[in-house]
Amino acid sequence: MNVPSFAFLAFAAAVAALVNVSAAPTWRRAVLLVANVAFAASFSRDSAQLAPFAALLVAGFLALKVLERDKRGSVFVLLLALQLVLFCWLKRYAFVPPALSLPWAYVTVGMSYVFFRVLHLTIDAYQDALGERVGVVSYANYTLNFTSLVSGPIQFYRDYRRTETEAPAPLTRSALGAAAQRIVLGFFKVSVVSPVLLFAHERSGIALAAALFAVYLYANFSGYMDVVVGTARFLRLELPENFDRPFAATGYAEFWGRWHMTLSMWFKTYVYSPLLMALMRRYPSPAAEPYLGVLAYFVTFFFVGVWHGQTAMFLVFGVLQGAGVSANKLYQIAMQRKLGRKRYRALCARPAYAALSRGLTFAYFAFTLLWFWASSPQLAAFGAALGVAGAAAAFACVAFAAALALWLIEAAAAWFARLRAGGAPLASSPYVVTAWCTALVVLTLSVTAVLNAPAPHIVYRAF
Amino acid sequence: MTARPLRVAAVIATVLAVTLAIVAAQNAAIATLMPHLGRLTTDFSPAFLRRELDTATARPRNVVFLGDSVLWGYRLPVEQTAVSILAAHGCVCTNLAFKSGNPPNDYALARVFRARGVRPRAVIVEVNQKVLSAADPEYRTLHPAVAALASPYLTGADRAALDVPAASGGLPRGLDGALERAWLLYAMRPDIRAALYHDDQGGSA
Repeated sequence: MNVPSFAFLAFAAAVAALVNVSAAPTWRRAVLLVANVAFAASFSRDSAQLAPFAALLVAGFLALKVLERDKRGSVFVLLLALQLVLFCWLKRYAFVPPALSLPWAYVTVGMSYVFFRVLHLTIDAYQDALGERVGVVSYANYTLNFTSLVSGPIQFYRDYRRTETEAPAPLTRSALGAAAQRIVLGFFKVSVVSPVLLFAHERSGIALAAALFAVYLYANFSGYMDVVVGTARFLRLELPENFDRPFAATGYAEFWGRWHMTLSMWFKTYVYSPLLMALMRRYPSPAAEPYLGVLAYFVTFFFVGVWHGQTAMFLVFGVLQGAGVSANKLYQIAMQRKLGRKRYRALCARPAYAALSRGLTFAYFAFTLLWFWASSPQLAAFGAALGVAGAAAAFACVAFAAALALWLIEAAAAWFARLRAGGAPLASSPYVVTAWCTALVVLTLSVTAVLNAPAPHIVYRAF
Repeated sequence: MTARPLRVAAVIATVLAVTLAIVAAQNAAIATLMPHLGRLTTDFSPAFLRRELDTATARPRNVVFLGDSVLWGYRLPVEQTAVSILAAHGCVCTNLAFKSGNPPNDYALARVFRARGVRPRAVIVEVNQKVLSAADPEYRTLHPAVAALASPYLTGADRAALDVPAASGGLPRGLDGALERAWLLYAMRPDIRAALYHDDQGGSA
């Protein structure tokens, strides 16, 4: 089943109707378990195609149970390594010899996201951070949660468990309205904005194509997020947010705190923090501390980049992500040393400086995405056609145009937020909201009718 | 009347007003901006065919070409088709040939011409010898768009001789028809898609 699609919405509506029949936790967990398993099984009718996915889940659960009893470091490292090997093997990473791969096609949709959850449970079980033993139903519902199986978000177990144990928030009219509004906006982003931007991207020159792809990726993935977060609210589940206006970021480190936030948080928790602690123990010098942080950032965001694909191209993508974040951190350290913290903060608060920083951040992200969507021959052709000076000019153009566009969008949003009708903000008027949602629905139906495509393709589904 | 029903009525009115405004804007935009593609698209709609017929009716001393993929220009860009070359030499002509066109479709189109008052100076009909094969019933089949337009003008004998496809689609027939009448974007969706993605360039069968 594709997400988002009308079939997914119908499925979710049926599950929501059943879940809300009773507030008893046992009932809710039982309904969700059946729904989660049915949703996962919808990706194939052949049990052999589902078996590898099931094996990853079973291996994760067994590791969890072992670590709940045996907290030896050697056991933990062995189980962690086994899970990593199993995951890389099943995901058919390029470094795994093809002869070793399973000789049949099987379901890998959402495997990365499930793997992050399983790894989180394994590590937290070893560190005794889960606070309780994880039962098989909770484990299955947490790892297979159908609203977030395909492309996340990556929720921590503690947060998920809270929705199982605590009384769910009442489904008021305003809560339902907000959730429905979110779903409508998500469908619009995925079904209208994404295809339009992809259409333009495929017909544009390199600089514009790079910029359009960045916005397309945002519309595509954040649209998916809007649909699943809105859907989960009908099931009385709270999913974490993955986006917080990422193109408003004035630095690359901040950008990754606003883009795919649950992935960044996972890597900060399980790569950045332990690595920084280890480095600080190894080199206990206050003067070296900021630079150790820069190194830890580089490694963390290198892995974040590498996670996005199985080929060597994504090694370059990883290096560029790591370099972007660490260079940004180094710049902040240098500027604070030069100007002092207070003056540097004042500089960052200047509108022109902030706008330029936003433009540069956007342009860097857009150009690193070349290693995400372009093939090696395409990259070589771009390099040959533009040269170093041409590439620098294209980068500057994108940065300047993005700075201007983002400033205009921000100014328009601020102006709209100031508009008032009858003493209340116009944006919160039920009639404005109704008109806005109706327009989104009609435009979504229009584009769906013209494109005649089954369900929109979510880029992050492939990871 | 209490405040709540008033508010519900106002919300419904908002939904209707916004929907009608967007549909009207789309209709106006498509009527103005949808290009004349020089030939029919692969899955041309009844609305698109009707528009081409209206254009042919409006042109004085027009020559209409009927036929199959040969005249349509299979694997040729539109400007290299026979009809386009004639047009470049000053011929006022309309290419109504289409892939899998055949004499039954030409016959049905002729009935539509008569009914809609299309009076070309000449009609050139290209007949592919393949249609003479009695073994292939495909050559009796009407294109769905031609069938939709010609259906009211076909006699019982015509229907018995021809293979008139039933309307297909996911929506109930009544709703589908109502949408096609009111919403030009819906009615011409395959043609808009073809124009956007240049499927009209003859590259595919």
